Order: sequence, then structure tokens, then C-alpha cells
Amino acid sequence: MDNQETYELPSRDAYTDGPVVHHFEQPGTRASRPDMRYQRPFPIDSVKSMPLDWAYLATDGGGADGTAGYVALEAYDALEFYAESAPIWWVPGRLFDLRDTWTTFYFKEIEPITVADGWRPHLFAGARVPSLRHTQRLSAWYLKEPLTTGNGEWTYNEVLLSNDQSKWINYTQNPPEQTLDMTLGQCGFIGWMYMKGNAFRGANATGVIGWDEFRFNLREHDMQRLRAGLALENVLEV
Amino acid sequence: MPRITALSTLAFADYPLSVALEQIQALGFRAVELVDAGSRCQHFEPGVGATEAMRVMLRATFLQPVALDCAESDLNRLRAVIKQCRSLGIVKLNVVPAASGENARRDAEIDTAATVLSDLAEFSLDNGVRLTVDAPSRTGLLDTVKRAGQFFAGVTSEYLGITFDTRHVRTPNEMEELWRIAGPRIWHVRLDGRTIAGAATSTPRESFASQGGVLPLDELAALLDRHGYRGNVTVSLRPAGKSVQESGNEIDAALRRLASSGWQLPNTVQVS
Repeated sequence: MDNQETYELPSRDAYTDGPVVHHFEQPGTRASRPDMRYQRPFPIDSVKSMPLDWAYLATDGGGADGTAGYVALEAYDALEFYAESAPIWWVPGRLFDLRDTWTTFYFKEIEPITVADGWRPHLFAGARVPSLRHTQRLSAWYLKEPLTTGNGEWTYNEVLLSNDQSKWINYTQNPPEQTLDMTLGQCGFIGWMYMKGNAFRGANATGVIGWDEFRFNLREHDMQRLRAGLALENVLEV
Repeated sequence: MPRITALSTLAFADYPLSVALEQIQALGFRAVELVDAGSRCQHFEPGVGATEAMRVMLRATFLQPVALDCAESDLNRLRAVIKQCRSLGIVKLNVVPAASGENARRDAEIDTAATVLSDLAEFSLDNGVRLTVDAPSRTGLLDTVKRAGQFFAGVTSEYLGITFDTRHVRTPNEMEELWRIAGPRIWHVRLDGRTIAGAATSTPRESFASQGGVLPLDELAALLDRHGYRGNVTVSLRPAGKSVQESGNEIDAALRRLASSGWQLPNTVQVS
């Protein structure tokens, strides 16, 4: 255990098993992904996005819930339009059991969003799953119920990640044994994405969206505190 | 009115990419079209090292690369370019199918190009990149609207589109005809410098041909509006042999012309 002090203790808070909160006020310390070299000079918090890495910290107009900043994602006819927290890529990496937990966040159209017909924003969750086929090592699902973006105003979204497959669409079209339970139970990716059917490419999105105070891994007692206006406990802030 | 979204690096073709991006950022743009036209304008290079250098330059200047206009025609190299685009977040790649020069073989060449580029478009989409062809393109295989129509009749992929460059269209009727044939596939519009310069003289439609084939800007804008076009519109000038300052002035003048013709400029772009 000679290395513990050097490598593990500085990151011990990262293993907190409580609500995760992205305030998007300043660059995070856990930003990573496999092709991450550029993130060293340009840290953008622990968010991956499409258009690729165009999520940036902004303060114009102020953040949600009285905060100063938020994360903005800007698109010019983007084929894919999404942003996600990717704890699987954090340093150190994490997976979360998000079955029947809650997520909350704020959305705002900083500049009006236009997309191709029929495309809507949805909450999605993904996990790496065992498979001999490269194309099926990701199992990703989105909730059928679309999110509310808020036109010019911050709009609060509160979403239950119900472990009920009938409420979700498995857009990566995995075999039946790769269930929603498996994905939510070891979730490594969670965020919002514009979708249509099984397609995540073809959104043709233009505009700027704001995303703020993103919380996930919220249990019922956490929601009770939130609704009562009390501070969350045992929080992992990233 | 349609909105101008990006400036092509062709505007600073005589300078390295780093200078081009700095100047485009200084003009207030947030989005850019990169150009790889060989010796005429080399603002995209192959290889891992070049990719990382471009990534740093794009992030440092905060410019979103919305398209790459690429003169490459070798299929294997194009596949490598597509992977580079994926890595850099460039979501649209435009290529120009080349003609052999033998007119008698043109039909067969068009059929072959439709098959080959359909396959490439599927590969491209798998990498998150949309593929377009310059159509029509006076210097390429699809040199007329009719040939563009013939090409798309043979295309099997729904992920192959058109970059519509105003430089290559001779009459407003041609423009309408292209939209009739392949309107939903027009995913990128490039305003050529000559089109913009033509606006200064308010070329009347009847004298269009005698003016050397410069499209009236207002008619183009009306057409884009009429068809509900929502893709990118790139300004593409080439002030060759000019200093950075002189090039900047020429771009500023072109943007003023566009704004006075009712085109919407990006909020962040201020013209003098």
C-alpha cells in the first residue's frame, strides 16, 4: 500500500456514494476520455459533447438556480447534438447504479434551437457491456418522454430513471440479454441527446443550448431534501 | 433571410492555417470551413501530428469546423481524411468527383462515381461525418445540373448530399432546377466571392448572362427561404496576393455587401 498516499488518497472523495452534481461553474478536475490530449490545455469539465467538444463554460445571462455559470453547447447544422457526463472516463473512473434513481437539471435555449422534423431532446443512459462484437459493447437507452428545453428561460427537468424497459428505447439495439437493468445498474454515461426513433445522427441542429446544475444518482431521500430546499448530503461535486 | 454561418479559410489561402484561423476569429466568426485544395490552399494535412496541431489551433481560436472542402480523390486517402474529420469534429466533408476528360465516357464515369461515393457516404456516416459533392461543378465530373441529376439517380445512399457553390451555377433557372432534382440533398451553400461582388451592381435578371453568370444575391436568398433551407452558408473569397490586412478589408467589404442585401450575419461579426 506504499502508493496509496500518492495515488489513492488524493482521489478518495471521488468514491463518495452519493448524489453527483455538475455545477458547471469552473473547469472540472476529472475531465478525461480516451482521446483526451487536447483537454489538458483546454479543460471543459467532465462533459463530452457533439458537436465534438463544443461544450464550454459560459456566464452570459447567468446560470440556473441563481448560479453564475452554466455549460453551453453551440451547433451549426450538427449531425449529432448531445452532452453527457461520462463517469466511466473520469480519473479515477466510476460506474453508478442508477436503477430507479432521479436526475435533475436545467435547460435553456440560449439561442433558438432548430432541428430536423421529429427530433426531440431525451434523457439517455449508457454502459459498456460484454460482447464479442465491437459494435455492441455499448448499451444505450433513452427515455421515451422528451425533455423540456425552455425558450429563453431556465427550465427545470426532474426525471426518474425507472428500471422499466417499457419506458425506454434501446437505440443501440442490443440483444435481449443486454437489458436496461444491466445498463442502469452499471451506468457510465448519462446526459441528454436529440433523438428520433433509433437514430442519433441526423438531428441537423443549429443553435445554442444551456445546461446547468446537473445532478444524478439521487435517491428518494435526496429528492425529499431537494424538494424541501435543503442542501444535499454526501455529495460528489465534479 | 438565410444566415451566414461560416467563413472559408480560402480567404487566407496564402497564409498558414494558424494565421487564417486567427484572422477569421478576429473578424468575429465562430464557425469555419477548412479548405484542402492542394497548392492553391493547404489548410488540412494528413497524419496524427497534423491532426493534433489542427485541434489545438481550432480550440485556441474557438472556431467550430463545420466543413472541410477537400480536393483529394484517392479513396483510401479519403477514408483516412474521414477518420481525421471524426477526430477533429468536422461533421461535413465535401469532395469534387473528377472527370477523365473524355466526354464519351462521361455517362459510365457518373454511374461508377454514384456507386463508389454511395459506399463512401455510408462509411462516412458511420464516422459521424456527412459527405457531400460539389454539384454542379464546372471543373468536375458533374459539370451541369443535368449531370448532377443523373448522378443522384444512381446514388443508393441517403447520406450523400450536395454542396451548392454559387460559383458553378450559370442562371437562376439552373438553381431552381437543381433544387427540383435534389433539393433535400442540398446540405451546404457556399457563397462565392463573385456572387457577392455581383450584388454591388444589382444585376438585373434579364442581363444576368451578359454579366458573366453572377447570381443575384436576393434571388438566391429568396430561393433558400422558399425551400426552408437551414444548413450552413459559407462565405468563400480568395483575395490572392494580398496582405492579411488587405484581405481582411476585402472580406469586410463583402460582408457589408451581404448585410446590405438583407443577409443575416452572425451576431458576433461586426462590419465597418
